Amino acid sequence: MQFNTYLFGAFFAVVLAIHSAPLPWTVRKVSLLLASYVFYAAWDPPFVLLLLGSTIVDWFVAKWMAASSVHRRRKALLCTSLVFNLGMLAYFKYAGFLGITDAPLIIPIGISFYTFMTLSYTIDVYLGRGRPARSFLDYALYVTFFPHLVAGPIVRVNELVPQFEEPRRATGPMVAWGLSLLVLGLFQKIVIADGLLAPAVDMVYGANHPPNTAGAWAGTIAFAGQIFCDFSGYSTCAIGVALCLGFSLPDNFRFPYAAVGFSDFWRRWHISLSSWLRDYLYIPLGGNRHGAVRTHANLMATMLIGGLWHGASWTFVVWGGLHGLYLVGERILVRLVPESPIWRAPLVRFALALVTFVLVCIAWVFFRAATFDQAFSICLAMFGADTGVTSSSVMFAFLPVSFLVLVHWAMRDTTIEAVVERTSWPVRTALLSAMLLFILMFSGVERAFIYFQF
Amino acid sequence: MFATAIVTLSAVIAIELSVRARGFQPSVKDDEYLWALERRRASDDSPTTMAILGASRILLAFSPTAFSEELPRWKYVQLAVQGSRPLGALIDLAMDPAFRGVAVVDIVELNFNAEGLDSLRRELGAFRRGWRAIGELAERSLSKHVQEHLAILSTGGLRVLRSIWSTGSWPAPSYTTTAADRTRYADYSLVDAEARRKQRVARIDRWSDSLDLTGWLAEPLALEVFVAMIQARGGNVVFVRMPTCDERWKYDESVAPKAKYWDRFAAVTRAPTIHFADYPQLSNFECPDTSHIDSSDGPRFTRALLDILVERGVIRR
Repeated sequence: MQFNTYLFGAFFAVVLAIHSAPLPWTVRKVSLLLASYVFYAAWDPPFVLLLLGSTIVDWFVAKWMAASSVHRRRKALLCTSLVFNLGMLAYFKYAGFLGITDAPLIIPIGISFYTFMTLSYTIDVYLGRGRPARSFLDYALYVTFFPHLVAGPIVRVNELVPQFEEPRRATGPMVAWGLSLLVLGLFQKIVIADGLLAPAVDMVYGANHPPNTAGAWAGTIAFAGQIFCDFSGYSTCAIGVALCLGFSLPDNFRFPYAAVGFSDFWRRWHISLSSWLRDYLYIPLGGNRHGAVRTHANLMATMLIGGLWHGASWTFVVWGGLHGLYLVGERILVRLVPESPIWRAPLVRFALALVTFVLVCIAWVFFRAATFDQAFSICLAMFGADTGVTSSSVMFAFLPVSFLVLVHWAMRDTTIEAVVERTSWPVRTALLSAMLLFILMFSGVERAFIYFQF
Repeated sequence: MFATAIVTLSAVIAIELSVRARGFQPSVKDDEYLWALERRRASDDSPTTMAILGASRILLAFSPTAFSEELPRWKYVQLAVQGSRPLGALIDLAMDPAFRGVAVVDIVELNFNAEGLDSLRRELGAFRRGWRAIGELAERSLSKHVQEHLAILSTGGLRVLRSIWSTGSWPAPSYTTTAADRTRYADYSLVDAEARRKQRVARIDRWSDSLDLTGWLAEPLALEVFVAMIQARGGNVVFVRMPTCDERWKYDESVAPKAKYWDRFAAVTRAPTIHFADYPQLSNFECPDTSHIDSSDGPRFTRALLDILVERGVIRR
């Protein structure tokens, strides 16, 4: 089930009504758990069993690990969890990539997200960083809680399970703010990503001929805007929906196109994944504790795997590799270039943010292109091979994405909440109403959220 | 939130009235899941179900109102898909023991080929997912009821923005609208009919189809087994050659002359066939773009077609 459907509207109204009813806390949690399975089953019912299997296996693994003080037994249990979760991921998502001939035709929706969540749980219990959940219901709800289930944010057990342990009810302001975030997320998805930008992206990346230089840049910049609004839109909806039910999910984006440099970018883009990769991959590999060369190698390995996490294709690996190179290059530059007040001047910082954005866009080419041939032909067109043809209507995309980048820059050091608090209620009302109207007018185009495929 | 709801509701009502005044009509988004919902209705074990198969010609010409007036005991299921070939759907109905009705198949000579047998893969895929597509089917069941009542949803946001940005005015509404049961209406008075006709004729001038008479008859006859399956259950299949006019009809005749192709097929198939050119009541329609009749002629066309089916004994009122 997707947030941008009428079905979700009806589903959420029922869930909210039951959750707000004067029922015992356990009954309300059970209703949320059942609702989460219904939410997942709406996509393809049999795959609920996979979700259930993953939940049960990691529940028992963590429970037995916590009960054991024998190191070898604990290690064997951790291996069981890793083999089960990564094996499931490998089979369903990477079988074709790994050359297995009878690869499954369908990738279970959200599998990359919920396997990372359950893995973080068992690894934390193994390392003693976290304790196992006290009740199976709380743990099952942590894994399947429908707002984050299929496309994140990737929540840690200590961020959510404590919220399930005590009765919670959303207050009026929480519901109002949650619904506002839902509207904002849907506006990002339906109006900006699908309505304004996707047609320009499709004109360039869906064409069977190379674009011209302006078209290649317009299509790629449009994709930068589309993927941000699509994915950030989903996360904003998820946070809003959870808040309406009285739960808080962590931020997943903080205006990433205002990032100055790539370490800043990864602190702002898909924060829950980048922090997962940092905590469960980069740091265990040694992080920055073993000298510059090893640090660079660790960064590259983390970003390559991060790229592969997005999809079973070498183009995603190259996308991750480019970001690895950017991060390594940045670390080298920071060491070589002397500290100076000039780097803190607002105009210089804005220029650096634009350079970061352009380099991020170049990496997006490999993320979006269906093949390397297409990626290279678009890169060639971007850097001077102006032999292709692109409709001038693609240029329209520069307008909303320029606006988006400026908004990110203006919001760089603040939050939506802070800005909304400073805004008078008539302006807030007008903005929300305008967004709802645009959502209605643009709702003829229905596209799945891009990150559902990951 | 309450203020937002009031402001939004007022604005929606105002914009809905405004877009309707500009000629926009509610229209349901047609996709493979809406098709799958309709297709399920055909599996009803009823001899009084008529499945309409084909492409845009019968999609635009079929009138549900005229159908209900002519055949009050019957049910129609609109399974025609714009720009498609109907044979995949015909085979699917033949393989479905719960379909016992009449399949009216709009087809042209060029579409009797192996490629046509593998048509409508997306639609049939959605239908065959059955209960596993429960979410998509439920979404379509809900959305069609909303979309059939609100014209604001059919404006196409980007088109409106672009038009207002470049010309300062709203774009023209689409000349086609789709109902919740997939019936499609075309109002050619909303478009520059002459320009559209010229565009069509220019496209026809670029075509270069050809048929090889020697092997051709084998392809439609490969369907006989499926026709026989439906007939064995008490149902029937009728192949209908829909009207085309002027340059398009001349082109059709130059590529696949009726006497050489359709008539030969009609002589050997076990299914009843109806070619518009054999019936004056089906031949006196205008086709604004040479290939389709206007939906305002739909009731007259539907009545004429149903009368012929009754006369030929294919259906009983």
